[in-house]
Amino acid sequence: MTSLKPFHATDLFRVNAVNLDVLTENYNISFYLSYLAQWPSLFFSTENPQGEITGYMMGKAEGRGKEWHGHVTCLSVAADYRRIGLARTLVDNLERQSEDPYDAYFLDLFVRASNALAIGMYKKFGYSVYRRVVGYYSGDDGKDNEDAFDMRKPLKRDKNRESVREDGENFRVRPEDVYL
Amino acid sequence: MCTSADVRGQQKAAMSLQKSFPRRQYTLWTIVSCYLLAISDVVTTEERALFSTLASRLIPLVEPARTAEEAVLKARVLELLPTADQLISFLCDPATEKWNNLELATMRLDALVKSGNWEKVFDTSMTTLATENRDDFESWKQMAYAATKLGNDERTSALIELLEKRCKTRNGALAGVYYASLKSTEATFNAAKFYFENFGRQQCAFDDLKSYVEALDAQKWLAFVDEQITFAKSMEHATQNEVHILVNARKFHYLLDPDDKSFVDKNILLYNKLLTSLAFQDKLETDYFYGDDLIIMAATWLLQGRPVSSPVPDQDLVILVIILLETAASNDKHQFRVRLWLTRLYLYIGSFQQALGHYNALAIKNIQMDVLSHYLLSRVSTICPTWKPLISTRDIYDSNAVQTPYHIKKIYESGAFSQVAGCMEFGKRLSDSVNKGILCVEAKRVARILGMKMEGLGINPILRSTKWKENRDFSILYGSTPEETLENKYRIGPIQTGVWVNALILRETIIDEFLTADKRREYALALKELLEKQDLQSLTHVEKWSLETLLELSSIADSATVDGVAVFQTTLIEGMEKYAKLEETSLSWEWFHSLYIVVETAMISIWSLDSLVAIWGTKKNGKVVASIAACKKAVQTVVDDIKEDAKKLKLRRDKWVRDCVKRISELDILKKLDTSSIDIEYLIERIGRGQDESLTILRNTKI
Repeated sequence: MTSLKPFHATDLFRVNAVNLDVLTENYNISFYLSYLAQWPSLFFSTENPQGEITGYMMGKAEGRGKEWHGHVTCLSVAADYRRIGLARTLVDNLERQSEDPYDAYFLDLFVRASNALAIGMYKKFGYSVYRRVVGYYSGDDGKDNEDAFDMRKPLKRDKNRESVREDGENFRVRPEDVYL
Repeated sequence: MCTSADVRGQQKAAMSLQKSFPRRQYTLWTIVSCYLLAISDVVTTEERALFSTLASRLIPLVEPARTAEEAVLKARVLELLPTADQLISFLCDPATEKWNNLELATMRLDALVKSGNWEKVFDTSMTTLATENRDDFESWKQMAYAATKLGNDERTSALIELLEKRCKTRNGALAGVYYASLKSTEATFNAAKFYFENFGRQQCAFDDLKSYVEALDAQKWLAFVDEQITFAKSMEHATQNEVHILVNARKFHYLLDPDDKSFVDKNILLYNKLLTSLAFQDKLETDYFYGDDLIIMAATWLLQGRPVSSPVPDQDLVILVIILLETAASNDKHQFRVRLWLTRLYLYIGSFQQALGHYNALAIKNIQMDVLSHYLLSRVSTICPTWKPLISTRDIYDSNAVQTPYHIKKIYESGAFSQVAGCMEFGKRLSDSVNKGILCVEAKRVARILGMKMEGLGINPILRSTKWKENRDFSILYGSTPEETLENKYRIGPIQTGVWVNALILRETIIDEFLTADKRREYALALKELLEKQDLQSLTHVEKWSLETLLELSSIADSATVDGVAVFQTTLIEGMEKYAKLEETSLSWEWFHSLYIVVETAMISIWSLDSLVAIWGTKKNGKVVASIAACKKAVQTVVDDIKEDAKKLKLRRDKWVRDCVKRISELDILKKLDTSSIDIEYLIERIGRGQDESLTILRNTKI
């Protein structure tokens, strides 16, 4: 079962089933609290019947003009609760919040170009690749930097779907072009 | 005020600002700070009512709310009022619902449920699920409960219609099980059957159904789940879904059939076969293999002492379980519960380095340090005194002292009022964390035992007045199947609570102030009171003995006589010999713990006695000084014997390894496991080396 709950700072003591996963980053205190301070309604979790946190979403809203958008910073689901639609639930709620009250044009996220699983999942959710950010992820252990796909989904404010494009995989930009 | 978490100060500052500069923002800050005071533990009952009233009276000055956060603040203030009418009215107002805010929606449902307004609960939940199309289990659950309470045909029909429409969604199907559980056992069985038929292939199916299934006919349910286990080709070619159904079925067996002697054998054989399955071969390296849970179940079944087909001698049980779990870990690097259990069990048998290896693989950092470091560092000073993991773990508390107040200020400025209380609580819980207290004490003890002179290791005796906060997570080790009592059984001693921390802070303070008579007496008296009046369950017997020995030392410092020193010597040596008995057959954390405390107590005793003699100089009675010298010599002899015994143990290590390998290899359970991915002899040898390292550190301590 899934219940969506708002996230509070004290929930950071309760996310072990999610954060012990090797793919989930454990950020420092400042990172989590800065999101709660600036975008409290974009940070929420899912819980099971026992009240244990099974996944969470950290989102933010940024940009100017037609680049005003919601962003998926961190989406993480506990291993025992994968492939049951929790990611969808979390992303749907972020889309809802990004539309109202943030009135954003689109929602976006960055994903490693090699992460076929995540890319496939977001495409099913209606996201498409907007651009390829060359060398976005710094390489670990002597490996080369890896490209990121900036994936986007237009929201209802973007009536003309100006925030998406065809063939985004081949539209290359540098990381410095991304920062606003 | 934010930096010092002074809520009274925050309220006064906010009120001053609001009165001097009547800006909307300052009025909001005043409301927030009044609210924080009203919910804090620093106010009296009268003050609580006062600040609640003050906050609610200020609300009209900032209406209407301009943001969802301001609406949440108003709702929180209304929650404080004696009756819920205003709160419910506000939360159900269309103007409030327009904020589309999860916090307000959650509060709305909670408030309605608490008020017992079942019609409103039902209608609100139906709106969430059907009109807004938000699939929220809490809404499902409350709607089903409300329908049962109301017994109204129209609403019941609406519920059933929605359940039927959404029965193919997980939440909907589970809501069906919950609703059935309010009706009858037979209805629950049928609903649970439907759920498992449709969702049994998901890892969470067992957790979802566990509480409902416990009320059913166990054999009937087990027969049903066993029928669901099918393989399109064969078990050796099982797909992920097929593995999930199989493992979930075995979890139900674990839960409902605790006397099945063949359980462990079956699980091991199933695990072996699944190592060639598609589910295992095709999984991503960063994914878990659900089949590992077969091994975790087998391991915890053994640890719980449940029946098995071929019994395992007590002395080999933990090592056998370690081998099972190491096999799983070698096949699946990122399964964290396996690694947590391995960390715990290696520590349990005193092999710290092996525990450290698995703990490091978990990459625990930042806030996890407070919540999870106890898995490695509980009583570390008396199992294998180690410096590095202790120091890195303490960084989180320094970070909290700076970052959390900074962000609380940011929250005030940005108007994220729904987060203030949570952040203040977060900061306080980290600042007063019992784990922090434990680590401060342990760092001092490690430095003492290792003979290191470390700067900045002072302990402020005022700390013992702290109301220590418990943030540690013990339940993460439970997983789906182990119980709390099992985690208890294999813990490194009783849970160290605030009483433990306070007792050890007093001990360290007495040692630091040993030569300052009035301070020593003050803290000795406080320690004596603690030992007499507080619940001492968090202390081991040898820890209590060590504290009592320190009190006796303190008495000698006050008035040393020949007889007094002689009595002290006798009780000290008796205690040392009692607690330092050598266990040849199975080393354990308890043995290392006792030995280290005995040696540490000897260190403290000799240092204290030497210090006294140095202070007295020639003024003290020569006979007293001579009796102290004799006491020291006797203590040194016992310590030398301990070190000699430790050396003998180390020299017998090769034989121990050979004997252990021989015994373990002959265990029927192990013969059934595919251990091709690990080297059992090497593993046992590493266990021995880990224990030897602790023995070496012990032998190198200087009294």
